[in-house]
Amino acid sequence: MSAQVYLPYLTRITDIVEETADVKTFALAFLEEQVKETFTYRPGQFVEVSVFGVGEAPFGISSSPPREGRVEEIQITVRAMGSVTQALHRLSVGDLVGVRGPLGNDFLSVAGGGQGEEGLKGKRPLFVGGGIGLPPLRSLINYLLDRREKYPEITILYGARTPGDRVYKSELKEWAAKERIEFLETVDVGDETWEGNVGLVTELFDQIEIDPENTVAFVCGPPIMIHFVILRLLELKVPEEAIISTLERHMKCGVGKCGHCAIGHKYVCTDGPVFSYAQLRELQWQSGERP
Amino acid sequence: MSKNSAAQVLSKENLAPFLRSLRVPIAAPVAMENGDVLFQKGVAPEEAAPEYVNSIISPVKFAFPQTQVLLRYRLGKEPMVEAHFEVGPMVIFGLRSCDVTAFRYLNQFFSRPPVDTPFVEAMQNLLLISLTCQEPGPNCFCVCCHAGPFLEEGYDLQLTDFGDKYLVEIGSEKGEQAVEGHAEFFSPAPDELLSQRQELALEAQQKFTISAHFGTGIRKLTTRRLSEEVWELLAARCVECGGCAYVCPLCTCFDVVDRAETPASGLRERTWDCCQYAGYSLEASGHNPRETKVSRFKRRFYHKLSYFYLEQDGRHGCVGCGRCVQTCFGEVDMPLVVNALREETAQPVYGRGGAGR
Repeated sequence: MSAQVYLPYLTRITDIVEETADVKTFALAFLEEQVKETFTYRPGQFVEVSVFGVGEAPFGISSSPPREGRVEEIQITVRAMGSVTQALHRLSVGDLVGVRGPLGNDFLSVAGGGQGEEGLKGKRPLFVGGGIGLPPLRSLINYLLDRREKYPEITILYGARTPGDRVYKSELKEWAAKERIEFLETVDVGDETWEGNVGLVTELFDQIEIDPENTVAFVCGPPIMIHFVILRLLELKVPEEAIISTLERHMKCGVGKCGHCAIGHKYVCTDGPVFSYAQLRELQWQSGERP
Repeated sequence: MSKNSAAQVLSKENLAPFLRSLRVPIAAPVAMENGDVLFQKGVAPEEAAPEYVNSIISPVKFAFPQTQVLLRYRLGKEPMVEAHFEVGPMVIFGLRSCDVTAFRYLNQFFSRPPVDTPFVEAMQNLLLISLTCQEPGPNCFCVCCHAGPFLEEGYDLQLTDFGDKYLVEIGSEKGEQAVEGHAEFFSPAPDELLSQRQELALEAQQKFTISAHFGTGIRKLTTRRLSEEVWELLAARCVECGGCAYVCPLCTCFDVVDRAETPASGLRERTWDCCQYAGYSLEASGHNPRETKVSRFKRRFYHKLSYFYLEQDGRHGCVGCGRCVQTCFGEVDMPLVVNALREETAQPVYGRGGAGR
C-alpha cells in the first residue's frame, strides 16, 4: 500500500506543561527514525493530532523549527474543549498519539507576499495575540528570535482574560527581558497579584509607536478580538497585505477533501490557515461569507 | 485515439460471455422487488437490468463508499498504524452517462494534491462500461449539464442499444485493452451504425422534460446579484434531511470517526457528511460560522454553482442525474434552485407536478 495522506505518524508524549487550568502544552516525539530525518515544518503550519479511538483535531504547531538539525519532536498547546482535546488532556507522558502533517501554509510565505522571508526584509514584525491565540504566533516569535541578526526589533502584544489564563508564563518573562523586544501585555480582568495593564489588547496600541509602512502584523486570537485588532491596524494605516492572521475552522481531513473548513472556494486547511487581511476581504467579497 | 475508427459491435448474446471473460467482480444495476434499482457488486452478468432509468444511489459509491475504513491502529508494546482500505479490480457495467461524468469529476477532485489515495486507487482499478440513455427519465436533465445523454468522452466503453446488439465506443486505453483482449466477441462497427448513433443521440436530447438554466444561475450566484429574500424563501423549504448530499454523485464531503474495538486497538473510518447539517461546521468552542439554515443552503449551491469553483473543477457541480429531484421533500432540488436564481423567485418555475415522486 502506498503512503497515504490519512495515515498519521506515531509519536510519544515526552512532556506536558500545565499552562492554565484548562490549557496544556504537549511535546510529541516521533517514534520512527525515518520520520525524524524527513519531518520539517515552518511557523504557522498545523498538524492533525489523533487520540486513537477518539478522533483527530487540528492544532497549530506552537514550537519553532530548529535552526539546524532534525526535528525530534514538536509541541502543541491545547485547551480542553471538545472530545479530542479533553481526551488529550487525560493522557500522560509516555502515551502514544498520532500526528499527520505538517499541513497548510505558513506565516512567512503569506507575509512575504510571494517572496517568502525575503519579502520581510526591513519590516518590523508586530505580534498581537489573544488568550489561546498565542501558540501559533509563538512558533514564529521564537523562529525570529533565533534569527535576531535579521529581525533585531520585534513588538509583541498579548492579552488574556485573567492573569490565570496567560500561557507560556516563564517564556513571556524571557521575551519581556530581551533587549529591543517591545513586549506589552494586558488582562481583561485583573486580580490581587496582577500589577500590569488591565483592559483589552487593542488598548495596548496607545502605548506603542507604529510605522505603518514598515509594519507586518501577525494577529491570532478569538474571532471578536481579531476583528477589533484588524480595525485598529487599519486605522493606523497598516496595509491590508501586511495584516496576517491564521484561521480556525471545524476540520476533519486537513488536506482539502472533507469540505468542513471551506470558506467560499478556499479551504482553511490547504489554502490557509494563514491569510492576509487583503485575501480575507477578497474571499468575503467572492463568497458573501464572513471568514 | 480515434474512437470512431475503433468502434465495435457486440451482439447482446455475447454481452454476458464478454463480461465474464474479464474475470473480475462485476457491479451492475439490479432491480429490487419494490422497483428501485441499485448497483450491486458480485452479480452475474445475466442479472443486470440494463433497461433501468437510473439507480437511486450512484455507482460512484464503489470508489467513494458511504463508510470506508481508512486505517487500523494498535497501541501497546508494538504500536502500529496501517492503511486499511480495500481495492481490487472491478467492472461497473451499465452505469449512465451522468454517473460516468461524476466519476471523472470525483477523480479530478480527489487526484488534486494532496492525493486522496483511497479514492484514486479504487478508481484506477475500475473499468466503466456505460450505457447511453435513449429514454431519459422524468427527473433527468443531464442534457443541461454537458453530462449526457450520450457521451463523447470519459467512459472506458460506451454501449448504445440497437435491439439485438450494442454499438461499443472505446474511450480509453483501459477500454481498448478490454476489447482487444477479447476480440472474439466483437466486430468492427459499420459507418451506418455510427451515423444512426448520432441520430439517436439527437433524438434523445429532445426527450427531456426538465430544463435547468445553469448559465444565468451561475452568473447571478457568482456576482451575488441576488436578494437575500430569494435565498430565504428557498432555504425555508429545506428540511435539512441531507438527502440531496447523500444521493448527489458529486458530493464529496465526509466525516471521520474513530471506532475503538479494544482499549488499545481499533479503526478509523470516513462516512459521507452533508453541509446542510447544523453540526457540520460547529466548532468545539460552540462557535458556528454557518449557524443559520440559509447560510448553509447558500453554501451548498455556492459550491456547486460558483464560477470560482467552476474554474478549479473545469465544470459546475451537477451532472443532471435527477436524484435530488427524486429525493428532496421540499422540492428545492438543483433544477428548481437554478431556475429560481434565474427568475429570482422561489416559486416552482417548471410544471413538473411531482414528477418522479
